[in-house]
Amino acid sequence: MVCSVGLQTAADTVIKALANLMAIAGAGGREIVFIDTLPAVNLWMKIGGICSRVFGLKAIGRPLVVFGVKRAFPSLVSLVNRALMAEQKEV
Amino acid sequence: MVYFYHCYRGAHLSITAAALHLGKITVRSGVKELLALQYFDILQPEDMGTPVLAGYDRDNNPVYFVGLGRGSKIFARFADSLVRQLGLDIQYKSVDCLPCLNIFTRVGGFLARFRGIGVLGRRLAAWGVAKNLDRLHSLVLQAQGR
Repeated sequence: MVCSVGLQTAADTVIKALANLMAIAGAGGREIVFIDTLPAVNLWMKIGGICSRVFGLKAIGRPLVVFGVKRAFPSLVSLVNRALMAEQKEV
Repeated sequence: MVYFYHCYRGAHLSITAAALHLGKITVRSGVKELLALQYFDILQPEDMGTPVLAGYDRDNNPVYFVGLGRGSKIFARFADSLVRQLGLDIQYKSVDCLPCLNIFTRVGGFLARFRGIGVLGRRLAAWGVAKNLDRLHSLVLQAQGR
């Protein structure tokens, strides 16, 4: 199962706490892999996001985000590949 | 059932809520009792995300407190959603103590980090928590289902 979630700027702390909670409460042996995609975010995406979400300028912000995502695409692909390779190694 | 009390740094509100849960303090406790708590104003920003076991309650349930920084408000939603999506069979209750934060605890917690005025900051933070102890107690009772 693959899920995506927004965790604002608290991803590290929340994921650490959740992993601890799962370990304490016993997640029944289910393995959960958390992958932080923030390192792939570039300046275009940040500016676009701020324009769209903070200032409500969706007409400007969204194309900027799309442009940024296109530029960040190779980083995202390598991020996913690394995650898949790590999973295969464990198997 | 695992109880998870969380706030910003895990140094004031969540530790007090955990102590209330365990009966180490009462709703009528004052600044002195709060300052005497083992972990009051101990956790630092680098400890965020690491739960600390405060003890076991009457029903032998473990009670933890943890600092989650800005993630305190989204943690419960994320955890509940993940557990539901994955169909995990785990028993836990996550309680956000941040609604009980007031200006005194906020300022006191900030001042407590500095040498020289640390003692003053700790007392101010404790005074702020003591003022909101009844609200924290309500949160604890709600979590316990009483």
